[in-house]
Amino acid sequence: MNNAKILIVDDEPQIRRVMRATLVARGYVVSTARSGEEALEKVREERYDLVLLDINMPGIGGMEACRSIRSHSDIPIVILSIRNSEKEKVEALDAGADDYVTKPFSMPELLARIRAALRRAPLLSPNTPELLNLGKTVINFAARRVTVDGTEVRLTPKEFDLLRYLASNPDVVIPHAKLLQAVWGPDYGDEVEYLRVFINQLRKKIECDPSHPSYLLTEPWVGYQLSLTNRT
Amino acid sequence: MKVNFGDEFGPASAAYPRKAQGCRQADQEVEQGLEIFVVFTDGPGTGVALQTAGELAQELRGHIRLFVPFEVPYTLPLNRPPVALEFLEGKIRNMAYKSRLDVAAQICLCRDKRRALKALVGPESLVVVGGKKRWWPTAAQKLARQLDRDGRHVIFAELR
Repeated sequence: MNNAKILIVDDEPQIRRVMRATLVARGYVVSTARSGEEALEKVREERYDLVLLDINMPGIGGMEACRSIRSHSDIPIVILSIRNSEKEKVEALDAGADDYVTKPFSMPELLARIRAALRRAPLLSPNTPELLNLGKTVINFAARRVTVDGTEVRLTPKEFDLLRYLASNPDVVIPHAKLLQAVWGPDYGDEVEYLRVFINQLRKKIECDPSHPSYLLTEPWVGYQLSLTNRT
Repeated sequence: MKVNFGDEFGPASAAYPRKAQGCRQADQEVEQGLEIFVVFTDGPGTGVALQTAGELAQELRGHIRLFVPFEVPYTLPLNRPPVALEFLEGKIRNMAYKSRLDVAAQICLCRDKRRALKALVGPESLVVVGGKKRWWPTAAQKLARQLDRDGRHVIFAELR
């Protein structure tokens, strides 16, 4: 995801300039904002894949901006701060930040943290439809609701994330390792049995005949796909 | 203690917690969400299996049932195991307590562990077996393979 759109929010022009140059050189598309208010405006107007947010800024400040962004968006937020206390870190993470980097930081570390945050970003892919109709099963991704024949079916958060990831890449076989890393995190990759169990559970919940699935298909030894070709 | 014996196996006791009291067999259990079975292999292996089952139970909104199949030799009556049931119960209670999970545990006295499990754990059930992985299969690996062949969804929790 090296063409990801990143919003840098910092009141110091020098830091903005250095970070912009580094990130652009790595292939990222970069926008900048000088204050929390400007950042909120930009996030409302445009879709970003990640926000790098400074804490100490005039105006509403980074913490408040973080809370406001998180109240309506799932964009990964990486906080940049000179404060190194546990209290500050806890407060920032509780405000909705995904990571906390203390200044001064090294560029390789920041880039690694950006990559780590973006690895989880495919779940929030703009390709995910808001509503998916699979015959009798209707999935509302925005409301996180699934109904089968008009009856609501409860999916666990993990089941829902898995379904959402598959739906964002319909009719494409997604390898086991990629699915595991996208849904469970970068530490996973070999736990194919986990996937089998979750896919099985999903089939029981959304397929009319779970033993002969029409939508959640297995590609033996490779992965799984959400097939939309059998829709009625 | 209520004991329910057949010729080959029988659930002997409910060890921990209150949920397991009454010695219900798996197939008599009213399904309340997904049931995740953990089969006792040895202390450390079962500890890892319980951890994995705990994660799964959280992510799938399931509940954990720990099965402890205890083989009684044919030279002894099935209801007279060579180890006192109270001792086994104490061990299992301790293990369940240490795992800090809501576990319904059940000791099952049997002649053959695999046959007992085949009868007590329904087909397509989710089973977690824990133990070491070796190039030459360990007892836990063999048990997991057997359960898999019998149509259970098996997750092998590796003890490192």
